[in-house]
Amino acid sequence: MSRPLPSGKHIRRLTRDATKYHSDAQLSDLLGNVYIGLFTVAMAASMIFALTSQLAPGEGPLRPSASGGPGLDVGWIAVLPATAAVAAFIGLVVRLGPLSLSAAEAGWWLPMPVDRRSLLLSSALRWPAIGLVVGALAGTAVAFAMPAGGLVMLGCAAFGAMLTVTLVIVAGLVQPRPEAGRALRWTADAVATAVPVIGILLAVSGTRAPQPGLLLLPIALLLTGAAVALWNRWDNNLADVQGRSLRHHGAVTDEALVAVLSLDTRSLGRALAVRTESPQRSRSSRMSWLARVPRSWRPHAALISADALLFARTVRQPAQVFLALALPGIGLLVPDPGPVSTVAMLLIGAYIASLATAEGIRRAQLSPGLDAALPIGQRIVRLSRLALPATVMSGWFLVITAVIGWRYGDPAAWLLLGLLTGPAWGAAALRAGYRPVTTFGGPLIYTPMGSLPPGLSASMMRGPDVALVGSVPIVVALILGHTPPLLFGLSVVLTAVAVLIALYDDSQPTRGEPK
Amino acid sequence: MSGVDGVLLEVDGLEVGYGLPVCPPIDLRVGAGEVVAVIGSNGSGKSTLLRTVVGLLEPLNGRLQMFGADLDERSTGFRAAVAAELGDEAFFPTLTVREHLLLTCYGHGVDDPDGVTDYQIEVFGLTERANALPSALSSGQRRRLALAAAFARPRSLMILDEPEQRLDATIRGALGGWLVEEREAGGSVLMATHDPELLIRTATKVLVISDDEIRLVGPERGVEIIRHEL
Repeated sequence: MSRPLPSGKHIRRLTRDATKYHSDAQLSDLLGNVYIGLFTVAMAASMIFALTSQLAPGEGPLRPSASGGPGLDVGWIAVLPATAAVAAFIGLVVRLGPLSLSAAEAGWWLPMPVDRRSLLLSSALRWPAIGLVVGALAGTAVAFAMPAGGLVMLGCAAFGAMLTVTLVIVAGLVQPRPEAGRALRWTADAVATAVPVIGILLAVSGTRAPQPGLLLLPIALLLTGAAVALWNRWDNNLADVQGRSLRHHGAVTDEALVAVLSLDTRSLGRALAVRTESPQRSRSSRMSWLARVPRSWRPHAALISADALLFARTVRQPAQVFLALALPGIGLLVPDPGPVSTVAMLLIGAYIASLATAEGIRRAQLSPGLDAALPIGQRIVRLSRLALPATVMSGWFLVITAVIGWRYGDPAAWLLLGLLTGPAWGAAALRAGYRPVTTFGGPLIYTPMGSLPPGLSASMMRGPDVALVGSVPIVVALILGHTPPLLFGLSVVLTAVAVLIALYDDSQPTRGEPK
Repeated sequence: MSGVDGVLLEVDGLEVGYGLPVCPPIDLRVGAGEVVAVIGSNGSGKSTLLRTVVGLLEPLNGRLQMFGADLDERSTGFRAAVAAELGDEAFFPTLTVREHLLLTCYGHGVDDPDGVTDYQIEVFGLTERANALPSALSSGQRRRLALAAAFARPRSLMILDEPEQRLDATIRGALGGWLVEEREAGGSVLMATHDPELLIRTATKVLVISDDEIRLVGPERGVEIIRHEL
């Protein structure tokens, strides 16, 4: 009852061919309904252009207006994020394996007596290939910022790429030894989180960024040799990785992939968190303050308290809000912060911060039983759940606009604009939190990263769209370098619109029909 | 494939758990042609023991030998000999029932993959659902598919975690028959179960796991324990 065993590669190909045979959805279906997002971006861009042209006729839309202050060398603006990006990438790679198999792959492939090396080879190649791109982009960004000539730019890109690839392969080699993997993860995390502090120190000390030279090319060559030697070693040891490690990291990867596809950093954080804390608290809160609230207001107060407790007790969330300040904060520390980089960093930082405020909303959307049991309407539930993100984001914008006011002048006006913008971002968090759940039950699309459900982009744009609209006044102010009175009224209107959209968004989950 | 004196699985002072032991140390031997049922209340450590025996969990302490050598799930011999179905519900979302079984047959070098696949589909009552994707199957049908895959491949030792769960009475009855056939053909089975009928029909001995002790009893006593003590 036996025939020659196939190779692991053959088993992988059999699975892939069958998967492709049943995938009639196209890669373009991933972008289904993206027109809504494009319309929002176009509308916001039109408003910004019209307002800047009207409020600063003849001065051009991009007018740098801040000078003096601390001096973070522009080169550091590229070097520090590039370093943080590579370190964060390596931390991610260690958390995800790098060698892993999905639950189905582990369940059906690992029990087979086929050679594991060829079975795992394409999984092993995945992360070094991604590392090559990440490292090359980081190196190129540094070279652009310096700026550097063609050969030096090539050296920067090659150095970044080969350094990252080498580190990924090292992560693969240490995977069978958890202590070594832990040390590598801690080092990568420490480097990534130290970047904001280093940025502030460099700004205060006025240290200039080193100029990249041609020396980077031979270093990149040396790293290539090291990467090849380490790869050979890893390749020979692929079959040494325990099945339970492949399964564990596969489960983390699956969870993280779904989180990334849904742009859900809360789920991503949960997936990547190394759980060391006890699942039990030493005592439970009595929530005695609720007894002092009038009875008719207690459901609202209970919801707000629950969201606030969840936010405060999950250290990662306040930390994410705080660290998100570093992005626009460092951007504003350069001698003459340009409006484009300031706006970009402000929006990215606000987005990262807002994601950390919606954990309660997301959980309520996934398990709506508790909300439905409260004796208040769905709109009021949503309004109550808006309290935490609106408060946190208003505080976040107050800090950032204080720094902007210090750099651009007229801090009171900037603070007021920040205070008016914050609730729009809270509404964005609310809308994003209640977005439909992506389901994998319908027809899927085969991609190199696995099978994905169509229409992901529609889900991804829910939330950022209203944030973008609500941010139009502060973006216009940053481009102009001052705060015309018209922007305050406009901010009130747009923030109100954002809140109303978030409160009255009744989208239902969309589920694909089975093939 | 068997170890010293026909002993396939040998466990001495084995502690299992997630950081801390979930039950007292376990001693157990499973020989060729034996069906060992593991019984105990919910959370007693039955599934944890089975997961440790197939290499999904690291033993906390003690000795765990399979076929006369320390357990290593990476070895080809282990993978060729041990068929496990622990109710993990992991399926390729884009592979049909038939394709899952064909893949298993090819991967284990089964001589007639199509014939074996057809047979397993028929006896597990999946003929109408042979071309369905896992998402279109009921919970019980998915369990049948997972069990069919375990029976479709060559093996010396089957490890099953409550195989009767989510099966209808017909398939549950048939499952008892297949396990008896397995035993009579010299195969071995280690399974956790809460089903007294499956136990009395198939088991040659019973491992009872409780908070304070581990003991081996006969099938009749095992049935009494399930009915009156758990």
